This record gives sequence, C-alpha cells and structure tokens, in this order.
Amino acid sequence: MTGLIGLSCAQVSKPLPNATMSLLTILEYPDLRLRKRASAISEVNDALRRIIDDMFETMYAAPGIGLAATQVNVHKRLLVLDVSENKDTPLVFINPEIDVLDPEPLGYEEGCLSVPGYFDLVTRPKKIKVKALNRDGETFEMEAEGLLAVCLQHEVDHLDGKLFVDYLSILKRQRIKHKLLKDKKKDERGESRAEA
Amino acid sequence: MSFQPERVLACHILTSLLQHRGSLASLLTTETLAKAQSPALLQELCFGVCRWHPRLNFYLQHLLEKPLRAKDMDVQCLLLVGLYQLLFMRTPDHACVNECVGTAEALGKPWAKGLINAVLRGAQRQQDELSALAERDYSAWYAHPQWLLDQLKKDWPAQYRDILDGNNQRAPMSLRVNQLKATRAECHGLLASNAVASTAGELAQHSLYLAQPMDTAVLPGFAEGMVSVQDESSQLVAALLPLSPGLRVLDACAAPGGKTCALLEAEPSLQVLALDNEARRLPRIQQNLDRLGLLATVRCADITVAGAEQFGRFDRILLDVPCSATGVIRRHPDIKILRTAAEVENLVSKQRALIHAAWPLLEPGGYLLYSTCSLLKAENTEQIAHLLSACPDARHIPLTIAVATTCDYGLQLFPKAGGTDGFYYALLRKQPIAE
Ligand SMILES: C[S@@+](CC[C@H](N)C(=O)[O-])C[C@H]1O[C@@H](n2cnc3c(N)ncnc32)[C@H](O)[C@@H]1O
Ligand SMILES: [Zn+2]
Repeated sequence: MTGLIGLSCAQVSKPLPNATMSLLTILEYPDLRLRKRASAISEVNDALRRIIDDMFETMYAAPGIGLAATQVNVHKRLLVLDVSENKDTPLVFINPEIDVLDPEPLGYEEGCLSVPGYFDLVTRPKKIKVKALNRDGETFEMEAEGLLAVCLQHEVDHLDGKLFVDYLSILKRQRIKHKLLKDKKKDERGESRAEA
Repeated sequence: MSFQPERVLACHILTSLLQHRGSLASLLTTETLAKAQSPALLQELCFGVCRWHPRLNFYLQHLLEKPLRAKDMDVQCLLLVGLYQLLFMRTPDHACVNECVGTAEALGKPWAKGLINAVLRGAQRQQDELSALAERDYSAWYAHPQWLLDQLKKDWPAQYRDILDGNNQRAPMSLRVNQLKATRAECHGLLASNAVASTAGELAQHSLYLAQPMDTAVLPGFAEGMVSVQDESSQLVAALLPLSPGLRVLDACAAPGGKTCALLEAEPSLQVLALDNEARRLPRIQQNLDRLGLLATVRCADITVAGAEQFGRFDRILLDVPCSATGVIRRHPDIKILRTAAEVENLVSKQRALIHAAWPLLEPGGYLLYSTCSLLKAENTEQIAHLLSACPDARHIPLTIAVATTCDYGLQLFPKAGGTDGFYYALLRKQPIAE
C-alpha cells in the first residue's frame, strides 16, 4: 500500500558500522527555526551519514513515519522516512526534487512531529515523482502515491520552511499555536502536559 | 510526519459505521491500518466497541447528563472507545482518561475535554453500580440489539444464552487444507516448521485451527494454494452434498467462492457453474480458483430473473443464500449495529425467490443443499418447510453432524468458543422420475 514503485535496495538506508547514534531534539511549532529554508547539500560524506542515522533513530523513537532535517535544526535539504507497515524500510532523500505526475487532489489527515497532538485534513497531488541522492550520493528517481506521496510532500515542505498547519484556516492555526505555547510554559514549570 | 493515533482513527471509523456509511470490512482496510503505529490496537478498538456496543452505549447514556448532538458522533465514539479501554481492555485508568481528553483536541472538539474527563472518571467511580444496572437490562448485558435478542430467545429458548455468549467471543482462525496439494498432517508440519501452531478441527476432515490469527500475506502455504481461510462449518458442505465424478453442479450464490473451491477440492472433476449477481464480487471467485489450481465456469447472473433455463439442469445445487449473518457475529460484530429486523424480512423473501428459482434447475434424482450462516428459524428450517409445501417433488434428507442441533428440517450449528461459526444446512432431493 505504501506506493513504492521501483524501489531498489540501494535506496534503503543502512546505518554506518559501529556508529553510536543519538536522539536529536525536535523543534516544535511555533519555533521560528522551523521557518528557515534549507540549503542544498554539496557533498555526501560520513558526517552527513551520521546525521542521517541520528535522524532515523529520532524518527523511530518519536515515533513517526517521516522527519525533515529542518525539524532537528539542521538546515540542509535532507529527509528520512519509513512508511512500511512493519517499519523496516528506511528511506533517505538528499536534495529531493518533486514533480507532480497526477494533480488530482488527495485528502489525508496529516500530523507532524513538530506539531504534536494535532491532525487535520490536507489535500495534495495524488501521484508524484521524486529525484534525489541516496546515502552514497548517487542519484535515483522514484514514483510515489498513497501515504508515501503524502509523506514526501509533507517533508519537502519542511525543507522550504512550510508546515501542514499553513494549509489550515488562520483561526485553527492560532488556536494550535496558543495551545502549544501554553503547554510549553507548563512543561517549563514542571507540570505534566497530560494533566491539562 | 507522525502516525495517526489509533484512538483518532478508531473514532473516524466508528463514526462512519454508526452513521451507516460503511462496515468494519469496508472501513478497516489495510490502507487505514497502515496509518496506525499499532494496527493490532486499532483493530482491537474497532472490533471491541462494536462487539460491546449495546453495553457501552447503555453505560454512556447513564453517564451523560444530556444526549450528544448528532454532529458530535465523533465525541460519542471517543467516549465509547474510552469506556471500552477502561472497562474491557483494563487500560490503566489514569493514562486512558488523559489520552482520551487529549484526543478531543485531535478531533477538533476541544470543548468536549471537560465532558470526556467527567464521563470517564464517572465510569471509573461507578463501575459496580453500572454493572448492576446493566445486569437488569438484557440488551445491555448480553450486548445484542433488543430485536435480535428477542428473536433468538423465541427461536432457541433453551440455547439462547449460550448463543449470545458465543456471539460475544472472538472467532478463531480456521483453515481448509487443499487435499489436492497436501494432507492435513503435511500442512500442520509445514506450519509448525514455520513456528505457526495449529490443531486439527474435529468436524471437517481437512480443517486446521491456528493458535493465533495471522495475515494471509505471511501464512505459509497460502500463496501456493495449499490452504484457504474458511470456517469449519463452511467446509462441511463438501461432506454433506453427495458428490461423484463429473457431476454438473450449480453454485448459485458463489462469491467469493469459498464453498465452490471446497467442493472442487473434494471432487475436482465436477463441472461447476459458479454464479453471483454482484459483478464486483466475481473476480474473487476466479482468484481463489486460480490460487488453488481449480477449474470452474464463473458468470455474473441472477437465477431469480428470467432466462435461468439457459444454464440447463444440474445434478447438484448449492444454494448458499445471502442471509442475516447472525451466526458469524463474532467475526463481524458490526452486525449488531448495522442489521435491522426489517432487513431480515427482506432477506427471507429474497431467499424464498432463490429457492423457487433454483428448484426447477435441479435434475430429477438430484440433490440441493441449502445453507446459511444465520441462526434464525425464519431463514432456515421455515424456508425448507415452505419449499417442501410448494414443491411436491421435493424430499427432505436428514443430515447428521456430531455437535449440531436437529431442527424440524435441517441442522443448526451454534457459534462455539474455539470452534465453528453458527451455520445451517438442509439437504433436499428431487424425486427421481421412475419413483
Ligand atoms: C453467503 S454469500 C455466498 C458465500 C459463498 N458461497 C462462499 O462460500 O464463499 C451470498 C452471495 O449471494 C449473492 N447473491 C445475492 N443475491 C443473489 C442472487 N439473486 N443471485 C445470485 N447471487 C446472489 C451475494 O452477492 C453473495 O455473494
Ligand atoms: Zn512534519
């Protein structure tokens, strides 16, 4: 169902040998750093692969199905995702570029690790093609539909400083913003968010 | 991007279901399951709320000060999910209440937070009083809609409590081994070597019960056509209909082809015509035949409309009619919510039309097996009584199955924990001309 078309093993991301991974902090809306535009990556090296591994670990731990570098305060054009049912198909996209293949709008109830606890319907083109580099710096292309297409577009938006809440009404966005800011203050005062 | 919380997905699915915009089968698709971090939990929430809906809704009506507005069906579903988790899944109270309150936000109904908190905490506090109240309300206690409970009590005064309990159990997963490809023992061995535990069924010769249900995508032998998923009760049709090589057989209500295939595995030389009037259900028949390596003619047709003579006459007819499915409520607990008494009346007349259309297509001396997965006499023994009075050349042939209940006509199986679904069969013979 994930809509993986023509996926070769080369694109599945395997972690570096004996690397110790660490969890990164995910920025939360309305943090302004989420609005920065990420810049293109010129070289795929071990330092970048270390970030990729940390991003996967952070995404799986969250838990989530996709994470853009912007969300962990790394402003480079890089995203990771895994939309497989068994959570065993990590994919990485470096300098991703999206082309729309079928513009028919498809609605999906999206959620975001940077906007915890909120879900709302966003419509996006149904079928896309993505061109990117894999973790070895090789170019690949992939067609995507279904959840994979939704997730890719959501993550590429992050790299452009855009969030799914930007597709909602101003009123809804304001409400979410106030609520998250309030939760944050409570957290800082050491109260449990769940008690709200 | 994050997963969607199981509770939110369950609320969406249950809202559609309670508004009669779909069934569990049509709403809980693999596509939807993949949106959840734990598909198993999503399934558990949806099935559980349907299974216990009459009881949960009874509790809810006691806990709410005033009924919710129709447009807040999602909030109602969230409350039902919360009650199910608290009272049936034994989810730790504190976590459950907080998470349900949080879900109100995700549903876009933040105003409902106080209400959800109050109702769920009320349920925790008054658990014993609520139970005591429900015990005095049959529909709530047995978790069946009133009309169905009344009908079952009337049809089966001695057995109805066991039937209701049986309907509230979880169904086991039962397999039919394709005897053309493997013996039951070989298949059991193949499963065991893949760490899948199974036991032989007691009624059907080629049946295996899995200790744990599993997805057919990963079930050893499934893709190769060595096994199919089928309740033991359905497998029995191949033993109850007298078969011999080369006979012409009509399966008049065949989709998705489970029983067509069971007959052909037992006697592959049968010339089977498999009909169904729903075009979109036909491909499933062909897929099953192909996977199992069987041959039959598959057509979209309705024998109750003019032109059925074109098919000629048959030595055997299987008439597995559309029915209330009250014998498989444990597999489809949404029947408790979706099915109505009026629909049953409608089904009874459809079944009658099918009987009347099928009978003339049977050769003299031939046999017709009538079957349903219903527990209601109106769809079962009473239909056979009607057939016998309307068709003077019809004879009722008594059947025997160890654990079945003998009716005026035919045999009734009741849903049994760890065993078969509820099912009904009756065998009829057309008088040979010479007699
Ligand atoms: C109980 S299901 C059959 C299950 C099937 N025998 C099996 O074992 O897999 C009843 C079927 O009858 C079909 N049906 C309903 N009315 C019909 C009619 N008038 N003519 C032919 N098929 C009909 C339905 O589409 C449905 O697929
Ligand atoms: Zn996001």
